[in-house]
Amino acid sequence: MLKQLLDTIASISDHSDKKPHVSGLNYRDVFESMEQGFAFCRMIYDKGGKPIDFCYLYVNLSFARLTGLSVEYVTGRSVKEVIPNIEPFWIETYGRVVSSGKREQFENSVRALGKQYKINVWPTGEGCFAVLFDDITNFKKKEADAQSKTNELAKEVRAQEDTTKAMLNVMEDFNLAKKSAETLAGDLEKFKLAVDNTSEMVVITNSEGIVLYGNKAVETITGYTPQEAMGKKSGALWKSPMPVEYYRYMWDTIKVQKKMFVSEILNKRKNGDLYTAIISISPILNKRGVIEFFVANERDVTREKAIDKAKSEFVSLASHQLRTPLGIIKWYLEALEGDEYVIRAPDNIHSYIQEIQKSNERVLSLVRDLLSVSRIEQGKVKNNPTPSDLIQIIRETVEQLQIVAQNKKVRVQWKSPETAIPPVNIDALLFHEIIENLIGNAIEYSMPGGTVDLTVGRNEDMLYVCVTDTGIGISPSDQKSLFTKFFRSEKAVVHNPEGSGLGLYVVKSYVEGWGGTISVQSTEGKGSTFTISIPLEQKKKGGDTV
Amino acid sequence: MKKILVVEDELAYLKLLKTQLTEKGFEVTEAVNGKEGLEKAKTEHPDLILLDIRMPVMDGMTMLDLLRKEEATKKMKVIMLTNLEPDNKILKGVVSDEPSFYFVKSDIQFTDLLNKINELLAE
Repeated sequence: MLKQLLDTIASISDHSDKKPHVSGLNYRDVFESMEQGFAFCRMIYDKGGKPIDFCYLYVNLSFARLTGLSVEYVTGRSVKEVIPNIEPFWIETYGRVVSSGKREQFENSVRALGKQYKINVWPTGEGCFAVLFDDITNFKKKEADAQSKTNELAKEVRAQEDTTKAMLNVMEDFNLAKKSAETLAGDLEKFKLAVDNTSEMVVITNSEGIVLYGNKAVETITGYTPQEAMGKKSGALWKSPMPVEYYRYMWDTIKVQKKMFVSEILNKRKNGDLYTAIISISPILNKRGVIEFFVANERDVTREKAIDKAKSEFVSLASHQLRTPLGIIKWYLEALEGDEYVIRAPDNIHSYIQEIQKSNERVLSLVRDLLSVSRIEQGKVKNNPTPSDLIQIIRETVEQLQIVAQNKKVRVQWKSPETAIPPVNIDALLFHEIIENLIGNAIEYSMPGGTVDLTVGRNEDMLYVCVTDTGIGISPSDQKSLFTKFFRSEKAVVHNPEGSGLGLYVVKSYVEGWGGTISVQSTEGKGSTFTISIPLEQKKKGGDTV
Repeated sequence: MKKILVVEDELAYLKLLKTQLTEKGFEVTEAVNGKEGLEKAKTEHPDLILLDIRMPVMDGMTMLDLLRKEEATKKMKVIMLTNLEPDNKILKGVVSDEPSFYFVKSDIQFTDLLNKINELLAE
């Protein structure tokens, strides 16, 4: 119906002289009674044909109501007159409708009026157009409200979704965490089982040494259950009286220096038996380097020690027992050699006796070495330090070995040091044994025509002795094992099958017992240099062990 | 003829020392432990004692101690003969005991022992 009306208006305008003629049916009344605003306008162009304004030819009552502008004032005036700051949009849009001949529908606002309108505009020919409009300001407001509410709602929904998502994530994380916690717990459980059941005693204490944990071996070793030990000072139950200095040193190492402490310790079992253990205590530090707790483990070596001792004692006993018959053979061979009947015997008899003597001496020398080793291992080396003239001892030893050297056609040479060596508080017999061993080896492993050079000197507060030979030399790999008990390099075995492999072990033990060192430099086929250095100031006052 | 008392629990050594020393012209008297040795020292008045260290009943070091405590045997010449390495106790005893000497049997020649015996008895 509206369309009909509009068509009528259009036809009116067609037939009007630019003024709507409304006759017959009072169409004006229709327009006037409409709820919608209605305006009939003519476009105004500039010289270039560009729309720049439009003129209200007719507006209805609703126009006035919806715009707040009176019909009288508006009619016949241009929009720029009525609303001076009208947005260019309106003129442009209506201009386009007029020029294109196509109707348009849109929504837009007139800021000057503070209103928003829904517009229906169509061209009516001859540069005129009709506009039908509704005020949608309130609706838009409501819509905006609704939108914002919707937005809020949507936001809430999103928030809800986010929460849910977050929850899910958390759940997922939680599951993962749970899984990894389970794995970790499983790992920890494994570790705990391992620690619980290991044969070494493991004790964890707090930084004050109070026991927080003890494994099963605590009971096996000490006889006390881990529960008995818990909450007490570590070792309080099984500690045996060690010197105060020992504990002071231990605490200094682990608590002050924060280093691992390793030591052999004598402890007491619940039943009162003493046991020997190798103990190691490590401080566990946090990221700031503060001690969190201590981990101590103890290995009961009582049995090993006993076996070791028994072995050494056996060797010692056996050696002594061997010495008696060997000594008797030695003296009888000597008697035999001096016997008048034997003196007259043919040469081969003499050589037989010499061969027996040689073999006997070889066994005796092995027994001597074994005794030295067993004494070293039992800590029974007799160290009787007396102020000794070491140069004199070296001189005597060299003289004593000259015969051996001459037999091998090896020249042993040395000269006294330029700086005087003061008497050293050292066991002369042991020092002699060291020098005898070193020079003896140098001669033994030299070729005929070779030389053995002895250098003695003082380097600050150390005495050093270098023995250099032009012998078979020692390979780098053999040098590593050279000072271990019974070690003999293949070459040495070929060269001298009779060696016991104990000499250098004995030498090293003595030298180190005095706080000294021994080292070797060697080139295979060229020779070796053994260097010992011994502190001139001997702190030890003597005693049973070196 | 000089008289030597050999105190030795090892019969093979005892026999060896007796035959060899006898052959070299000494009168040899024997004891198999420190206790017996101490008695023989008192009754037989040897010119020299060859004394083993490790022996049952009474060891050589104890016998030496007791020997030095009695006026009659205080000045007796003693050579310690052993297969033990010298330990502190032995060395202390020997060092404080001027006329005594110490030999590890298997380390020396019998001739060395004989020389020492002759040297001591010639004093």
